[in-house]
Amino acid sequence: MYAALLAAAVGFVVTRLSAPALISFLRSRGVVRPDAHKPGNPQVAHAGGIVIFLGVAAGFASWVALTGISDAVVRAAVALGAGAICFLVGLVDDLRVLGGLTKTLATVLSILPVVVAALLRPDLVKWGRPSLPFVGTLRITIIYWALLPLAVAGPANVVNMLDVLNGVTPGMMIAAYSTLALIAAVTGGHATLALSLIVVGVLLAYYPYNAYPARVFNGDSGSLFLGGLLGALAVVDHYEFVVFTLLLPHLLNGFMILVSFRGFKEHRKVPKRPTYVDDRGVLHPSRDADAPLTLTRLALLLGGSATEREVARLYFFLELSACALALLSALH
Amino acid sequence: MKLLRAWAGLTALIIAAWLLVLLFIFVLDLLLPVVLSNVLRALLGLVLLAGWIAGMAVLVEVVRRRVAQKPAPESCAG
Repeated sequence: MYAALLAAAVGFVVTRLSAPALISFLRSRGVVRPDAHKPGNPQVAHAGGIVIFLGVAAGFASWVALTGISDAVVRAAVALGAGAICFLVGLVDDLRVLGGLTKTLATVLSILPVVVAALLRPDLVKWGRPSLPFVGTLRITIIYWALLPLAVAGPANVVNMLDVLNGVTPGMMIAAYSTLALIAAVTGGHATLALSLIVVGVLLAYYPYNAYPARVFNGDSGSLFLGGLLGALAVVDHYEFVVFTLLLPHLLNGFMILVSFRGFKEHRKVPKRPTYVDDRGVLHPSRDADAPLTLTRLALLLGGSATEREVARLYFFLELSACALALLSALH
Repeated sequence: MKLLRAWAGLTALIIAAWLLVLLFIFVLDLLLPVVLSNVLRALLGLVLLAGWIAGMAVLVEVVRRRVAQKPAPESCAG
């Protein structure tokens, strides 16, 4: 526990120190994107996932140095390996835009480290019997195998789909990973506890750079990594239902988008926008019957037009609701 | 923006989805032990899963069509 807290502190310091230099570097290399929700669409540095990944890698390395190699370290390394594949897919997309379906299929490959680990060390990584609330474990081996390709790719992509406003993803992920760390501390998931604490440390340092008005966007490298890592931890340490519950806002948004678009579509190629921004930077829901339904559009329809900062705050509170349900699921 | 109203609406949606998943799990837990064949168990599980996803898809489509006709609440932004 103390080693994990120290590793989280290392992740925090490395992120805090490296972020300004990395953001300047990205800007100088022209890795920028227009901020669509601000008047004048200012250019903002992109691929902030590099900052997040670097911080988590530094935190993980220090945790390994402090504890030595153990079963928990191997499990955490497997989960981090899966997250790293998501990060690389996202980085390619940040630098050269990938199609929606291509990106989704590429993230499916991120399950490979988990599959290899389960085949080589079945004593460490077991699957087929997910831990479920109120009923205990359920033997659903074939269904589990059928869903396994989506175990990491699903969380990665739904987190990416909700990464649309300044500060939303780091804010929601701080809440999600903190709750997962708490549950892991109580239930003895050492790998999940360590990696969750490290991610929280990194995101606390990173958040001010992505919060409104953002100086850096997470990019797909950031959102796919954070979601993918959450999915990998769910499989490796059997927190399937807990992680599912933590990601309910993201899953609902992803589901709405998939149903509205009837398939995967890159957000840059969406013909009708679900929301639009006026000259003052206020977000309004689209009134077009053919516009896709997203969680942001639904929120604006329920609560009225709002600023980007207000919607980001709403998402944070919504994630707290999901965290409460996750605690109820884990500690019933 | 009426933050509380939007939060309450979306939280209700999340709780409904969570309860639906729990219901799906309870149905699986009740039905699967009754079926002895592994292949039939898998088929039953996949059919239930597909049915659940289809039901959710219909629900989203209904909400999408209805929200477009709903009058906008008074804006507090700006």
